[in-house]
Amino acid sequence: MTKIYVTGYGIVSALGIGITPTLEALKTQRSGIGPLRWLNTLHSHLPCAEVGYSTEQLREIAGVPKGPVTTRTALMGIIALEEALRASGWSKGNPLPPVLISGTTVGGMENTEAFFLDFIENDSKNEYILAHDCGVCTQMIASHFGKFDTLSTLSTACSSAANAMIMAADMIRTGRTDIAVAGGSECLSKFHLNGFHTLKILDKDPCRPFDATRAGLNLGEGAAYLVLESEASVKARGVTPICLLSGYGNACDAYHQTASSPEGIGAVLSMEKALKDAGLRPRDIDYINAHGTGTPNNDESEGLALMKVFGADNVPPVSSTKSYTGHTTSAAGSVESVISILALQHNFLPVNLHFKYPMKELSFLPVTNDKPIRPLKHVMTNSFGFGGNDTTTLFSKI
Amino acid sequence: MPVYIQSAAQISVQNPLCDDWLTDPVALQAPLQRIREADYRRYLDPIASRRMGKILKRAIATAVTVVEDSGIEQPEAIIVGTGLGCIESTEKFLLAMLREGEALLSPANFINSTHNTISSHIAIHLKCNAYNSTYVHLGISFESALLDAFMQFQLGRIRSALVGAHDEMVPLYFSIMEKAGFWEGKTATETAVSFMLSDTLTERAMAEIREVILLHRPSEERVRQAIEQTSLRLGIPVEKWVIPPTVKPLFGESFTNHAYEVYAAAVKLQRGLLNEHVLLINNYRGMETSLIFLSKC
Repeated sequence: MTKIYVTGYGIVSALGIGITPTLEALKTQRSGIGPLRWLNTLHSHLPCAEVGYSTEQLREIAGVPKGPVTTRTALMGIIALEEALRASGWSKGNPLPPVLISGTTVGGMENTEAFFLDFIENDSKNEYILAHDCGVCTQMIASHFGKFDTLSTLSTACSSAANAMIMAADMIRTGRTDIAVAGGSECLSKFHLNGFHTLKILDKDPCRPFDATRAGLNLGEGAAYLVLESEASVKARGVTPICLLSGYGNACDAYHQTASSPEGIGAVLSMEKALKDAGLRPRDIDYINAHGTGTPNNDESEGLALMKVFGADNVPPVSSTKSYTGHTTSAAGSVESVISILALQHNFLPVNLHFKYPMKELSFLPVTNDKPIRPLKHVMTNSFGFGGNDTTTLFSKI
Repeated sequence: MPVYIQSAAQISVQNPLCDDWLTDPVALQAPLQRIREADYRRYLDPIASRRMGKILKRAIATAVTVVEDSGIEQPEAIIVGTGLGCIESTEKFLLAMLREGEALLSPANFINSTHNTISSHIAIHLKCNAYNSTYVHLGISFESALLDAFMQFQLGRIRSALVGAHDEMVPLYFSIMEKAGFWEGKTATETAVSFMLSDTLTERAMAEIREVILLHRPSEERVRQAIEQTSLRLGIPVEKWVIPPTVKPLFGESFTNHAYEVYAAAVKLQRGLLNEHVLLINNYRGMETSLIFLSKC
């Protein structure tokens, strides 16, 4: 099987813009969760993990000229994608990787919700109408850089970015391209905040994944992209890869639209498929970045799935970094992949923040000490979405 | 590994779940014509049916039809392409939030608003834990799903896949898109097509999928090059590929209407109404292009 190398990465989240502040936050246990600053909502008492810049500021940071509509989701995507491309050795004016696959669900919803009544009644904001689409969001991100040969967009809710990475990796494995960029971007919107609120799964306090007192998730926003590359391309370009995307798996829980099966059937299957794909045994895994939303349902179901896959007494160190970034929904798969890769590269375990009380259902405790017992060689990331769209990715040292 | 279309089912402005359109086509009514619904009682019990939007009922009915026709009860992948997803539920939740405020919203329409609701409902209905994904890339959403399935076969991961194309269009959203100049006088319709693919050549196999290619803003030269390279690799001379006339006059337009082109080509290949090799080209507004190469079984 063709090896897939990661040769670039970029990230935007409430922890900051770029790899450097992200790593600093993880190592110093600084959370990005706090009061809302930009999103205008009745539910402003709910803590969220907002990216710390207004949409106008993001436009300036991204270097996108005023004029054509560019959504917040696209702007965060542009910033993260540029960092990933530059890390892989690309610079402006040079040919782009041929393939960009992106994951999103809200697309341009933050404008649609602001102007929808205007679309119906006043017609003063009609330039935002077609910017609602998820595919247009990918096009906006792409067109900032120049000409990609193939674009596509995934939308499997909170596993969108993880599945975008799978699609891109499969395009390399089937010989369609040697190099591809994949990830996802998603901004906060009133639509999503209210949607999650109606489901009663938002915590009024900062989230406590894998804690007995956990009471829900905090929404976040962000973007992250990875440059994926075949061995031949890595050699031909003479670049130093960061790590391997050593395996991945996708399965469906097929249980309920917004809840996980009690025993985490889909989660077990996606982890087992990823291990099989990578040719690794459960005991090879040194760290797991859990989906770990902090909802009572997810953490119990995922925890039981981990015990099933790894054995109740042999679950590797597990943490959820949603206690730092909030739940970045469609971007979570790539945001948390970048975080897992940072753990692998810098040999530390991201501490699961706000953990106090063990869950009686689980045989393991989340990570509270950042020092690994053994050097990290293989790390796992889980991304589970509404609809039971469960995806697992594995990254390994070279 | 060969990939065959084992069965295909459509619900559209034509008579549902049959091939009547070949001999007895229904005329399109501009500017928006919604789907001629099937009788969903055969597929869903009344309680489940009440909870589902039309787009979900159509998806289940076409999916169950291709499962029954092919005899493949547990596909090894379920992949859906949709341009706008469950836009009716999305619009309802959005309008309630904007008109009635954020205090008293109910979750039902939010739950059904995500794009992947369709593929997950199919999975729940078939009790199928297999690979499951959803693509939402404008006019090539369906072809993205088809490419994903095709690659899963190529990589030897699966031996069967259920691939669907589903879109709905509601009057309000239609009129909003019209304001943005989207429809350009085309007849807007909705889409509900399911295909069962498998690697086994059976008596009922309709067509073989040879290749699927997605190109972003390609030049004419880039399209020509992709066709030439594929022809060379498959050992089929370029001039053997026949581009059939579009079936848009029969099925109308949506983000995923290209699925009807594949469906119609497969039906015609099976009946000997088309030559051996078929090339379907979808140029979506000069932005995204797809090439689908099909052969007779």
